[in-house]
Amino acid sequence: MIELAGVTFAYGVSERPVLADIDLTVGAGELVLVCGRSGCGKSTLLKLVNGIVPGAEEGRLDGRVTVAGVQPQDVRLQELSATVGSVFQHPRTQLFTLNTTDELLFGCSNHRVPAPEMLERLRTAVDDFGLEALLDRSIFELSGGEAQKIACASAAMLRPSVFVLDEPSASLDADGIDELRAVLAALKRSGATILVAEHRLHYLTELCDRVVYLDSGRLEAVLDRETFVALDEERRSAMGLRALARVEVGPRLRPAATPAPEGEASAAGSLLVERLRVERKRRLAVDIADLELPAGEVIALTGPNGAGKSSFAAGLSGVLRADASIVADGRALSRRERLRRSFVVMQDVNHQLFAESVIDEATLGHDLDDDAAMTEARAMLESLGLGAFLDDHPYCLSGGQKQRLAIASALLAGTRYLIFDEPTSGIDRDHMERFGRRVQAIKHDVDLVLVITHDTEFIDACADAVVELDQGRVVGRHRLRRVTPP
Amino acid sequence: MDPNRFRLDPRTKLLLLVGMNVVIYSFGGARYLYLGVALGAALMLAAGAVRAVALLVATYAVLVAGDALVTFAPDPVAEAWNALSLSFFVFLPTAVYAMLLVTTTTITEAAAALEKLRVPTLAIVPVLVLFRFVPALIQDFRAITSAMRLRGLIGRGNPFRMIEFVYVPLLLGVVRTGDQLTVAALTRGLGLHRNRTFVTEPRFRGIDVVAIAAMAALVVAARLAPVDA
Amino acid sequence: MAGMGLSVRDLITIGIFSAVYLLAYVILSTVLFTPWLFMLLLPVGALLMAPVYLLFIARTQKPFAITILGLVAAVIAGLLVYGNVLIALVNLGIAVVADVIAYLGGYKSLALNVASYVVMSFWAIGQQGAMWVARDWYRDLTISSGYSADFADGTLDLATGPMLVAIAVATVVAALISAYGARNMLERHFRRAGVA
Repeated sequence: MIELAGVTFAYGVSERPVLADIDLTVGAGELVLVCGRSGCGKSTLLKLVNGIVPGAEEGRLDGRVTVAGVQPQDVRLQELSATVGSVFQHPRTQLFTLNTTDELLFGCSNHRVPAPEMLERLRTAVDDFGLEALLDRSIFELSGGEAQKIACASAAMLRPSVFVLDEPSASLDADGIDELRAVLAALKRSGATILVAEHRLHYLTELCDRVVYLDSGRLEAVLDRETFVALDEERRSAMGLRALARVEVGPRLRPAATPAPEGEASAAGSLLVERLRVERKRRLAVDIADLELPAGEVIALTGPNGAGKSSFAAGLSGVLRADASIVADGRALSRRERLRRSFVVMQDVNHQLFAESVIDEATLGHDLDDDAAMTEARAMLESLGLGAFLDDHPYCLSGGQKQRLAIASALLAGTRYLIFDEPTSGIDRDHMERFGRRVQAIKHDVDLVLVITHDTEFIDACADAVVELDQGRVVGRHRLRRVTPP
Repeated sequence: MDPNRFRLDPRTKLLLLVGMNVVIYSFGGARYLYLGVALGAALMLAAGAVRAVALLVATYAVLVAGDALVTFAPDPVAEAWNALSLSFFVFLPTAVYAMLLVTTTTITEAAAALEKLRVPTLAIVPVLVLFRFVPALIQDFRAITSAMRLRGLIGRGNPFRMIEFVYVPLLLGVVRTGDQLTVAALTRGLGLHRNRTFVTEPRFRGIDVVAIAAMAALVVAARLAPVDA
Repeated sequence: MAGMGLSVRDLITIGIFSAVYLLAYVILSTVLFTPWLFMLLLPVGALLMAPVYLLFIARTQKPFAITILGLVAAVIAGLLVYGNVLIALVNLGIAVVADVIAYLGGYKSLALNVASYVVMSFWAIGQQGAMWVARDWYRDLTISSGYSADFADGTLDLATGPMLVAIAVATVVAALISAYGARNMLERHFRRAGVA
């Protein structure tokens, strides 16, 4: 169904190939998982199959790609859409219309499928994917998982024989991933050939038929399911692959409420949230009392979608007006003080990059004549691996580099309360561990490290304590005692 | 009974709007304008847009009250009020039909109606994208200003720098969104054909005939029986 | 559109940029919603929108892109707010002129693009434009709306006389200042980031 023969590809006029000498055949009805480190070329491989390259992005291709008897490079992207369906990472920019039913009908509508047939396909899709509750809703009300479900179903309405999904679980929480898995199972049942590029592997281990592993643009291994699932931790670590089973974090796995080896539960600078109530859309989104946030610990904030994690962070840091009494060193902090002392590294870091070069971004707000500040900035950026990019525009950096730039800015600004919002969604194992080590390293330089995350692998590997939220209230808090240091 | 029996076809609403424009530019006199407003309000009520009509009535009441009271006010205030009130009154008749269009039509209905009038899909795309992304833009704006607040960039330094701090992430985000949305649209066939097919086609009903007839009568009357002020 | 040379990507770009444009003007209109301040809509808008406009030209660089941007804005603002065809046409006309000016430089000449922006800054002239362009019609319209002839003349004089000139001058000056800052922004940020 899909065949790549001797495929080598480089973007634009670049000399460096992103894919080199790829030979791959995918049979009809197979679900193939494509994995590897960041930058290994898996996205590019998918784009060659669904025609985005060269339809929307240019480059030089050697070798041949054939999909369902057609060469995507010879066909207009719009025409190919009836043969190859595509699903992308970000729900928000994938949905074109305002209404879920319109979105489902969007593809068929563009292809001039007659109205009765469209309705028939809609009925089938509702049955196959379980969409009754999602019909005729505003897309702005949807959770990440629901949006991805609509995106998949919308592509499926065109009845393509091939599906290409590029990191579809990246922005999803546990529930969302369950819904995604169900959708993929339905697609597989319908007999479609499916290619999925992913960092998060655990939800596909039952569904995949084969696994393709790429490293620096080369096809390093093609494994069948049994072999893949049998890979041990050591092997996976060497390959840079994440866990194969969903990692659970909770009191069942670790002793609960054991005092930390360092002793003191409230070190100097620790925060005590005596009261925090945040209103969002006329509802009480957060209602918390007597929560200790000790200094010197990496605290993970978890909870289902809508539990109030982001609102909590916004209220705590002073971004949102809140009814709050937050005490540090025996004194309640005003909103302004909290604003000055806090920094939130947002889920979309692009919203907080303002300057024209990396060094300017890091020193924003400081006097440019202050030599000491400049030297400190350079050293900090160097230590975060950004030394080679000082004069580049922040927009040109990779996602991980932008994140580190934000961290550098925070530390240089003397931040005391550092908050991260989903820092590890959609990043590979190596970077996730590196990020974990980094927060562990700086946890004594600031008074609070709070990580909002649903990445249980990350929590398991790098967090010191966990606070669980549900419906705006704290429903659990525990320390994680480590056998070996992270 | 068809629950939608008082919903006008979007094409009718467009026709009514054009019709009202013809009425006002016939300079037939204020009475026809009032009749036009009444017709529009009635149609909105019939379609269930009660809040819109309430707003209309409230605005009208405020303007009338203001006009009455302004004779007691000092000259500059009176002048300012007159300018404001004038602009409302002059455009109110047609604005009512704009309200009718906006408050009783969904984007999809409007798109389907335009395409039935043979307007190419691609011509409508910019407007669809516009409505789709206004909420997202507002969200982005809020996130950016939150980030600025955290960095202490608000209120400090000159306003031009602050404008830059808002524009750079906002516009870079706009570019990125545009690229991602384009791909999502192309991979579902947007632009493959000149026009798309729709599940619910716009349909003329009894109410459309009534509304068009009423407007036509108004147009004829305004042209043939003008009333001098 | 076949024959107009704009790709799906261009049309989506137009859609998103017109969203930015309209959102900005809606916010400004709401903030300036008092009889005197409202006249500042054009100059204040001109002061703010240059980065958006110049980036837009850099991303599209094709004929009709500006016209369609104006068409979308004109339709939304003129037709869906005022419901008035005349206003919509005036707004659209300004966009067409702006497009032609930028076209003369192949959309690459900074001077002509800025000139285009100065013209485009008048797009929201709406009812004031109607008053100026179709003065007699506007007078008749006022009278037939129930006002006296004296009143109509008085308000028209007020709106079209020195006031209009002052606003126009302020708008041009504001547009030039904004364009200067925008060019700066374009060089330091958007060109270096590879989007312009």
